[in-house]
Amino acid sequence: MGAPARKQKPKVAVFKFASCDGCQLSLLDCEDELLPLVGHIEIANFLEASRAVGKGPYDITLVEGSITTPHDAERIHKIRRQSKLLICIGACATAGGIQALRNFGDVKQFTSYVYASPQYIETLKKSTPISDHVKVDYELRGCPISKAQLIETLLAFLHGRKPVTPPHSVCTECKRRGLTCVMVAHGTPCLGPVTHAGCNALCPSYLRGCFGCFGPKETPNADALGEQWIRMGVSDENVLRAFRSFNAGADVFRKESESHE
Amino acid sequence: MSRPGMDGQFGRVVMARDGIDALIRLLDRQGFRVLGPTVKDAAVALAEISSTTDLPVGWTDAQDAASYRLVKHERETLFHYTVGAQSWKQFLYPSRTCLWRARRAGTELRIESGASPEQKMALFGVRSCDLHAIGIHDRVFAEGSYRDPGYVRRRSNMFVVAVNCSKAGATCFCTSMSTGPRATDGFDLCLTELTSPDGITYFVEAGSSYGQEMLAQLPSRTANEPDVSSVNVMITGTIRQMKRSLETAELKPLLQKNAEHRQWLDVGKRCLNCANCTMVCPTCFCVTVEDTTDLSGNAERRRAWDSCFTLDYSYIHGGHIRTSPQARYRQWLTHKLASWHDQFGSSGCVGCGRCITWCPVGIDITAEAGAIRKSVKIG
Amino acid sequence: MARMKAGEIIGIRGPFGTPWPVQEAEGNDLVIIGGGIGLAPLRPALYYTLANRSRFGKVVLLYGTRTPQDILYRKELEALRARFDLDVDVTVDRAGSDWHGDVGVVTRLIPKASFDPASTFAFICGPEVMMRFTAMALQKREVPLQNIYLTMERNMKCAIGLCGHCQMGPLFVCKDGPVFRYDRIRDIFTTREI
Repeated sequence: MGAPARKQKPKVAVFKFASCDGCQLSLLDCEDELLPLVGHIEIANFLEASRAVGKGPYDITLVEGSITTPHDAERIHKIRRQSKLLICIGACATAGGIQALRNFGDVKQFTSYVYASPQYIETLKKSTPISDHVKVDYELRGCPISKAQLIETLLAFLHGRKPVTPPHSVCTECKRRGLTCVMVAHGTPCLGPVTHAGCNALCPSYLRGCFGCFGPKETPNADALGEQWIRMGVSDENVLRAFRSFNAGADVFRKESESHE
Repeated sequence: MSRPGMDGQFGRVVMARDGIDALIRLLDRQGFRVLGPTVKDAAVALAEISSTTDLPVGWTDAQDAASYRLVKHERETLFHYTVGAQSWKQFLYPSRTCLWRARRAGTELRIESGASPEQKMALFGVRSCDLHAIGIHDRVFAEGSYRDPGYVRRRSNMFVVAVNCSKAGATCFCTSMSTGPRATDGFDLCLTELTSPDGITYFVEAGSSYGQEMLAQLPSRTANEPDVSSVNVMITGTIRQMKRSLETAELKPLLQKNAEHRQWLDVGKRCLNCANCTMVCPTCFCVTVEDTTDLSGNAERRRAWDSCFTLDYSYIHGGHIRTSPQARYRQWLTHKLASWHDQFGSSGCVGCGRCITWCPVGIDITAEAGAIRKSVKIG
Repeated sequence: MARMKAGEIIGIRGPFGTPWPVQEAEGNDLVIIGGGIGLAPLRPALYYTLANRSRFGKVVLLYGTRTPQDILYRKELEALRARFDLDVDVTVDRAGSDWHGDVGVVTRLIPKASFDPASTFAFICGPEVMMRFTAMALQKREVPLQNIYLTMERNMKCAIGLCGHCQMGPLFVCKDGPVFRYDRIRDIFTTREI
């Protein structure tokens, strides 16, 4: 019960790398919980909310985004040095994000299509997760992350306990909610059986198949799911696309997408 | 509630659909939350009902491994389908429960019960396999050395309306497990839907004195011998329809002696370890316990359905015991069909077939157990 | 828990499961074998034995750990070594030149330990692999299998044989264990990932 009696509030910082800002927006999105939360923490660096930049070291650092430039590859080491606890938030930071699609192509070619003067673009061949560069203490999955999991994680670290963010399948959450399986009952391809829980089966609750926003679950059998999709009449191209989205860079999803090339 | 079953001690009547509606209204008036089959998201799902129009009227189902479809039936039947994905465990043993809360009051800590007041329930349309599943949970939660107070409370205030199955699904195998299709025990009332060219009628028998009391208040006529034989004919037809089977003789030693069988490796390649089978199983009751805290330091201990198919299920300091999918599948199947006998004196499987239908890749418990038996016989 | 102060509240449920069969072991020699942190659950059994020393024959404590720095209850062990009615032998997997004791796995201490195998009880606690080899070494010295006891570890949530986490074949570590008679769990114990 080591709760709020501490004198100095823990300093929390938010840093952004290649990303859409959606995950850090989840923090602002916390609305009802945000005000009580800031009573317990000092937000030292959070550009999306305030221009004030507090100096490190930080007790908890939330990192959003993937590493795509040489500059960022250096910057993350500086941030790591200033952080007691480094928590990655979202698919970009944990798997390279949608921008990891570049990993399957030639980044020079892409820049030549997009920019008038590509010679000024300094970028890496691959988009990589933070954990490829520095030690990461905890990861929150999702595109975007779940705000409930974000609050749970911050609370857990504030109270010195382990966060409850189970790595089992989306199916577990889906069935706990009593939803009907869209794959079995409707023939809708769903990534739920190989995807990390955390969204509370959001898409199946709207009769959509899971898109795999939270990336691979623990010990996923993507192979067997891919085969089942093919048996259901899904084309190789569409199996490839399903596995190659927000978490395209996550090992298991990458391999499964490649096996349908 | 005494449950003497089919010995004819209690009344048997025949009624029309309006009698069934009268029953639902009567249960409602007596303060029950009436739960029964409905159509939701193109499947039979259990929910609150207030009249027969809430039931899957004129629907039937086509089930197979990894496939479930609702299909229009030519008659205005109320019960011509088998079990849906959900079982009654969602009401009797909810997927999430708060066990207790701890609140700070100055330097003191106050522990409060997590139980919240609940309305008594009437389970309407329980199939024989599911009655047996409830019977198994009774042994686990109400008759063992440790009782689950929430379960016991819900169970003791419960009214059960069973339904005899007029068809067998392609994944059903209750005849192998001696759990159906005829409901013989554990109900207050049992309905059999009889379709004839003249119309649809309901044969209703009481299985308890409370059921008998209720029956007396419903519009009906006394059942006669032809009615009884119509019920028998229908049930015989259902038994004949049952295509799947599981050979249970010596199954326990067979599985326990074959922990290293190559079939486990084979199923491990196909298994998604997604846990769907355990979630839809009407008897699987493994749970995890999670502690959470809020900003003011109040804590809550929660219980949630867990599954032996998850990695964390077998976590101990330094690693996990069951990392491979085959080990997890073996754990599930051998517990369900073998060590359940050691623990509770019966099989843990009631042959409802849900794990086969709702497995996204169609893994079939009867086929997996059968493959081991076959190879051992040959070898 | 280590950070808690006097006066703070902790919740405890229990006791659950099976204890070390110290009373059955009376009248026999007793070998207590610990690996790493596994010495902790053996300590109460050792203290019971020492408190009732006259009821036992020879008493031997064999303890193996990774390095000299990892030795649990070091001061206590040193005091125990001075006793004449107890053999204490400690070994480490690896050590620097300042270590004068045994180096190697704990099973290597078993052949030279002094006890009468036919009338010996053995209590083992440590990592599963250590317990497996220890039981084999005891078997080699012809300690009766039914006199060998070991304690298993599994994840537990309920402690009453319901939640399923600690299941090992037909057994539940929380209620059928954690202390098991070796001959009763040998087959399960040697099955991988059970």
